[in-house]
Amino acid sequence: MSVLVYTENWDGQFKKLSFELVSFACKLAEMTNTSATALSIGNVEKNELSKLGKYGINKILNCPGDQYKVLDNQVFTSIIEQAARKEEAQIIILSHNNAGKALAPRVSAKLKAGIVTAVSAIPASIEPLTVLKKVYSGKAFAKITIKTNIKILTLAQNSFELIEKDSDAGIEEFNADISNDFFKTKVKNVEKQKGKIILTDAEIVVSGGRGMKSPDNWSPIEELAELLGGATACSRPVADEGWRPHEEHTGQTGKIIAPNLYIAAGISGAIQHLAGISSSKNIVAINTDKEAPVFEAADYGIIGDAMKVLPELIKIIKEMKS
Amino acid sequence: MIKQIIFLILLLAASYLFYKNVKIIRRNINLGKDIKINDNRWKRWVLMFKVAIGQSKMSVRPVSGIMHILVYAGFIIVNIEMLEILIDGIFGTHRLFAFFGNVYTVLVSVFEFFAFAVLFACIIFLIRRNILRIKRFWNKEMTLWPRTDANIILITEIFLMSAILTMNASDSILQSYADNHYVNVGSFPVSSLIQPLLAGLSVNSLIFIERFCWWFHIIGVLAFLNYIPYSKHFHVFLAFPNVYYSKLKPIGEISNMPSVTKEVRLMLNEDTSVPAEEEETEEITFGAKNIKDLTWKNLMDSYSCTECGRCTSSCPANITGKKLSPRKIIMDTRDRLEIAGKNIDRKGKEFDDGKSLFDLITKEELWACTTCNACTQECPVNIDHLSIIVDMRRYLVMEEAAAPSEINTIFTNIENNGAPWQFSNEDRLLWTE
Amino acid sequence: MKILICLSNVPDTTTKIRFTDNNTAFDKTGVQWIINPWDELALTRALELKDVSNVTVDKVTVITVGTKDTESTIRKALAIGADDAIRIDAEPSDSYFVATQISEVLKKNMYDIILCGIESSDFNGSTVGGMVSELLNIPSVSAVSALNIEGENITLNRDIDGGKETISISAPFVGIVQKGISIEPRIASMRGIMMAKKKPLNVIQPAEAEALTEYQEYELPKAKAACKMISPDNVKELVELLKNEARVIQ
Repeated sequence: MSVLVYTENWDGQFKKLSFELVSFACKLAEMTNTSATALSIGNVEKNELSKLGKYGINKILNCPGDQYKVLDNQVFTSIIEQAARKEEAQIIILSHNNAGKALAPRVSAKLKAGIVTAVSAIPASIEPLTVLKKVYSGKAFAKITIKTNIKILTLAQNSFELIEKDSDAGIEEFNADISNDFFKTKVKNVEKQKGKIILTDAEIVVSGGRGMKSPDNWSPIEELAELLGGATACSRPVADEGWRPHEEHTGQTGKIIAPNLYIAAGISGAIQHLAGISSSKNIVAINTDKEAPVFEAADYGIIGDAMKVLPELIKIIKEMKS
Repeated sequence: MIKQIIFLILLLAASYLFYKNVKIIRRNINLGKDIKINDNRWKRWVLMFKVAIGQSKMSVRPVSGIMHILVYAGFIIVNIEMLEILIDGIFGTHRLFAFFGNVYTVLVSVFEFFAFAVLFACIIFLIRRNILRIKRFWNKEMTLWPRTDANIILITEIFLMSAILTMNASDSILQSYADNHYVNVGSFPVSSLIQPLLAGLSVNSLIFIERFCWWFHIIGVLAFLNYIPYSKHFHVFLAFPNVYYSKLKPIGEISNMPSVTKEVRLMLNEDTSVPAEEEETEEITFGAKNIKDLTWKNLMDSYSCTECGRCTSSCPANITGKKLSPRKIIMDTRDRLEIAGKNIDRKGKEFDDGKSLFDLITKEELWACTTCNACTQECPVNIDHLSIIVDMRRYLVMEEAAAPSEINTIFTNIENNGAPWQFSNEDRLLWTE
Repeated sequence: MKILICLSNVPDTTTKIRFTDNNTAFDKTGVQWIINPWDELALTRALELKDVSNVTVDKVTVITVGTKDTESTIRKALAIGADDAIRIDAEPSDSYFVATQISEVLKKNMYDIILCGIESSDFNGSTVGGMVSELLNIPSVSAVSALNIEGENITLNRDIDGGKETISISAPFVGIVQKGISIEPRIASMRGIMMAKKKPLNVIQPAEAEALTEYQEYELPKAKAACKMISPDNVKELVELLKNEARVIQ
């Protein structure tokens, strides 16, 4: 019996969310009186793997291989299933990110294990396992019980605090049984944005809407984001008009993010946009319209012209940092 | 004798050719949907008298209005003379009606005044079009052919009127040579001003000039008559029925579509899984894609267009730089109709060239229309531009769902929220608080 | 190629969410139902591909698990251009139940490409697509933001963190699609609505299947604390609050 957590790597590196997952898994292991095992697929160096031990993981299953550079859903699902059987895992944890959304449902069907996705907290009860989940695009919560023996949970990014706990984590080589012709996903080309902080990873996001009036007015947003070490984002009309790349669109049909701080400049706060950012820990809204719906979702608000407020904000933060 | 035979042959040939061309125009107009316009007969006659005969809509622009009355009235009155010309030609007589004596002289004098008025007005018109370059004659759709067409008409009129006056002038001089052919009817006021130019010419020269002008005039008229079906000048015939068959409903009232009403009733009352009674709704196209989807009145409109451009110059969309030009819509409809007609003549009724009105009229033009009806209000021959624009829009929306995305969003919102915007139906009454 | 689109019947975005029966069931009164927006994008893409070549894509079917009241939404899908529809007559109790139903239908009648939206706007599960592919033992690709078919060659764009991959894959497979797959959802033309009434909507009985999870109850979020307003002349106050109160900047 154990808790198995799939820790995805990016070019052999872990991210903050990997450690969030481990913290969560270890907490669950504690609550169920079992151990927590991490599964890593692909080539990750030993000293990177042992970082997981800082957050309390008891064992690390390492499944290396060049053939795992590209995510093939069927292959990775099979590996996770084999690991789960080996470790007699009763609870399997994945992230609710691109890979997690691709793999968790497959694992669920393969093991006939009940699954609840995008959880943001420890389960309300363990026996039976009951969790709270946001439904109706964030307008309500549902209390869901998993009826099966094996249970799968995917954790929303940036919703669980890291819990540091040094543990003596052993790394075990795990060579999954995958035949070569099982790999069906052929990658022809990879395009990566260089250098910029990935929006879903960013802890601070500065975002602009149509109230910014023109794509030429974006430098205060970019400057503030850079100053705070964050990423830039935008509302849907801005992306549709071509002022900003589509990757920056946050909202119901764009990216759903949960940063620690979300600064919305010139965004009115349409329902679909709010659905994408409502999980943010702190929302600051800057808008000239005092009736704008964004102020209902925000924690802090300034009724004013973003073109004046943002430079002022930048100036004060620069002063503060020096 | 030979002259009479030649005359008769020319007359018959020209008449026949004209008849054939008018038949084609009539056939083309009847390619449109058959609708009945047989209501309010008295009202229609009154309207025709006011607008077509009375030129009531032309008075908005007084200068061109007066000039046009001169040409229009002059054209009709001067052509009373045609009766005598035809009889003279067939029977070899010369000024047969001269026996009316002084009455004849007075009549011809009146004709001369009008001939001069026509000539004068045509010169003014030529100046307005080509030298003053009045804006509405130079829009994009006024390409080489429409401008040339207008100039040909004006120049032809000038020549024909000049011919009559010159003919009368030489006739008057010849009367004094006591040739019994040249009956003594006296001098006429306008042509007498030309007489000094012909003084000093020999009798034979004068006879030549007089005969030349006579033949030039009649051949010119017959040729012009046959030019008319290919030209916007056809409006001189078509303006009258076109006004008679005008839309009598208030200008802003857009026609209902019974097929859609039926469909909406079905949707509101019936279970979606029960198949509705099927009818030939399959064959009916919603809106207009091609000539056959427009009514015969739309097509008559297109042949009645005088290309004056009053519609376009009053269109708020056009004035503010949009692509829409109501005149262009009508001219394009006529162009497409001509092509459709030629296709039938050359390739048979079933031939489909795969093209439609949309090859000439773009969606951008159609969507720019605000349906304000300034164009239909200004049109001197009561063309209904809106009917064509709205029907083409109906085709785009109802057959292809090809409305601009903003309008599609409105449709979706109305369907889901009962309002054009994304607000919950339940919040409808919040504005009252 | 035949494409199957898995549709979910969801409340319209502006619906006020309420629960009845002691907060154990969603209150359906007065709700306007629509096609789940992501599923609609998938359907739009399939129809676009069919418009380009109805030899390459010769049939687009929509399938849904739901009771009779979902039929108006299904008819909308038919009106937009789907060729036929299948409705499995059952309440969608959880995603595993739904996935089992869909895969049972596919086992009898396989499609070349199965498309699902990445999540539905009601339960935000993001699970049905993946489950269907595993139950059928066929490949799946998730986070698909573009789909192109040329003859037998299928090319997809898959979004990855910070970029995207161009992937080629062979049928049959499940594509789990998200934003970018298609830009403008279609609306039904009059012609489409009329023809939708005549297109086949097959209602079939559900297969034996179980739900692996149970929805116990619902709750509405607590009212948010009012927004703290700061004067635009006193931006310094905001910075201090963010630093000391919210502790999000140093």
